[in-house]
Amino acid sequence: MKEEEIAESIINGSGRQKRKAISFLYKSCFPGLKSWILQSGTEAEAEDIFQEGLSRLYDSLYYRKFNFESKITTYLHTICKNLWLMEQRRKKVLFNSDLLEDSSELPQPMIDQEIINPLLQELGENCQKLLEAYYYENKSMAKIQTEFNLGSEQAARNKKYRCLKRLIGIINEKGLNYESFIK
Amino acid sequence: MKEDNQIWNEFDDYLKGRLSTEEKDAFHQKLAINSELRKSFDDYKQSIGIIHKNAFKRDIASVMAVEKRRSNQRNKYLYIGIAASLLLLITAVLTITFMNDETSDVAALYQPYPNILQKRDITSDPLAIALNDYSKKAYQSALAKLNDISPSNDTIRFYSGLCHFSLGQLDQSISSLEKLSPQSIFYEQSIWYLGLAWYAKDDEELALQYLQTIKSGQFNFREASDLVNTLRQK
Repeated sequence: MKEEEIAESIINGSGRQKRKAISFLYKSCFPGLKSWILQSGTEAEAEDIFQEGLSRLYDSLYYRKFNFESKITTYLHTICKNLWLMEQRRKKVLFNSDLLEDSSELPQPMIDQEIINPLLQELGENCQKLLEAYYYENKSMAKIQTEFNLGSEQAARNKKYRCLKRLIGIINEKGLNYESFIK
Repeated sequence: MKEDNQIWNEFDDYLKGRLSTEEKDAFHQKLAINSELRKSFDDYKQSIGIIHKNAFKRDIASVMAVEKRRSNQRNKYLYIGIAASLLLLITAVLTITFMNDETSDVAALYQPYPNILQKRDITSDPLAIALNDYSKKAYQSALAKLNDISPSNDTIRFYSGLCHFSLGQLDQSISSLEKLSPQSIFYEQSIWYLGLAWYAKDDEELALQYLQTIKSGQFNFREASDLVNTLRQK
């Protein structure tokens, strides 16, 4: 897969293309990262770090912070390595109280999913799935109409509109903003 | 509602890269001078971002689980091979028998999709000429002609995928069918053929991943359900 293809698949591809890109990144980066982490950690920790790294790569692509100056695989590898070093450092701080002076530089707790989950729960499963079908999997309205048993494409559009409006409403009600979701 | 919808459609076009350079510049300018619009865009982008991120995380977990299972399976076979050559021989014999069963299953399930352009003028339309060969089961020749048509599109990709499938070139078939966009009229059909191709390649997990998404009323739903049940019982 080419660099542009990976980015394009992740941001604008169908669900299938996205999974293919993830699979490609996994095969390209995970084995090396795992060997490196296994020197001081476990396989489960390597998996957690890789998942977190991919999630952050996604943020960089979606919010256009990634400038394509380096290869995506190199970038992902660097993110994962930094995450692991931060995790190592956090552990040391926890186990060695002498280092607590540096607490201002401790990595922030990973809070995004803790915020996102209740939001989506409040939005409702049906709305979440419909928004995912349109925005994440890039399905057409005709397909959404069939999959969600809606009367017409216009009904599908209206439903999508209502769901999105509801989601924006929930976010605003809770006073959340961009920074709340980005770690 | 209408107004919001119009604005959101423009946001969609921007985020999905459907605006021309001029339109994009105009959009940036509007954002620069209109703080209300900018706030609305931030809210919109943030909400879509949550939907994306949540689904992406779920996909990461699911892909990693599949890849891990595969890798474990590969390692298991490697150890078995090293440990006992006799066992390997038996396994090979069993595998060949199993593959033969599977191949005959696939042959029974695989029906090339009909040529939907049969009524077109085959003297001047290159696609109709290629698909005429396809109808006559001259898949190699059909493939060569399909490859010559430029630019490619989902119809060409779909029928190329089926030609490869018919020729037993499963990897090329998968690669072609996977390129279909969800908007394609052949998308539903491609899911069935992709499931079948992975099944023929003996990758039951990937076969299931595709076949399970075929819903009632969609192409070959009954066949897909039967195959899913068979695979789950294995």
